[in-house]
Amino acid sequence: MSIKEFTKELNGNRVEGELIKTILYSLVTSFLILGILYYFNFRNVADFMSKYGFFLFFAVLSYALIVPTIRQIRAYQNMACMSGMMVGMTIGMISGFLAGYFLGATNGMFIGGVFGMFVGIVLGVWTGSCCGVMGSMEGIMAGLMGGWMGAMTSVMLLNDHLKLATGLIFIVSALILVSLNYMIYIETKETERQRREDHFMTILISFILTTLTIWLIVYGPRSALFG
Amino acid sequence: MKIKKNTLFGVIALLIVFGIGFFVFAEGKGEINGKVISGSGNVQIVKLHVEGGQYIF
Repeated sequence: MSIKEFTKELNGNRVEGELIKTILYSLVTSFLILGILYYFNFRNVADFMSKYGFFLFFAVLSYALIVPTIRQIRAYQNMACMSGMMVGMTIGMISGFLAGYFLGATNGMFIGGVFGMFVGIVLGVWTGSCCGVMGSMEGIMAGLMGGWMGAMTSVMLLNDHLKLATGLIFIVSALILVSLNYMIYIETKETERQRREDHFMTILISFILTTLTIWLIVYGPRSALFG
Repeated sequence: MKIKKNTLFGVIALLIVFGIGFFVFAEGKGEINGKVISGSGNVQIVKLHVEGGQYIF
């Protein structure tokens, strides 16, 4: 059965065998940046941990799930049209939604929507391009919708169990991303790996996403709700 | 007993997540929005009205 094969492959020699290691690298990179910035600077920002800690924690976890999927797609480079569209749409939507959601919860809808849209479109187009222009277009559309939708959802939830919703949304998003890993495995299990790479991209993407998120959450513009 | 390499990575990742999660949840028990006038637990009440197309607190 394919799920059993996939689970087995998580310890195998293909790129799927590197997914857990990639998660660990991304987590370590992001938490190191957060820890260093907190120790040297944000410790002195009033209520930093109580106001932003929760959302930064989930942002780091989300990026740690998005980055391995990017690595898996880069390893195979080319995919069939339908699979590539699914890849562009899923990565664009989930990365945009989560980035927009976390920033929307701390800074308001405008900056959350803009950041979510930016992250969603960039990652969606990049990963969707594995099947050509259709995947890239899916990435743009999904990034646009996901980014603004994420920011809007968190602002609308401000007075109604925002933290609980954050946990639930993260769990569902994680399930979707793991399903995407599985789908890519199913689609590519007959093909050879096209690209071998070290973990430089993992660290770079985690670094850029985490730094941008922290910087915008602490110093970015805010809506009237967050005054 | 031989531990598979990825099992070890997975366990380390979980330990990091739970360790830092514990710190974040223990430290962060404040309100989400600075303009809260009352409320408890997860629900917060912010008093506002609209004037000339703008929210007024």
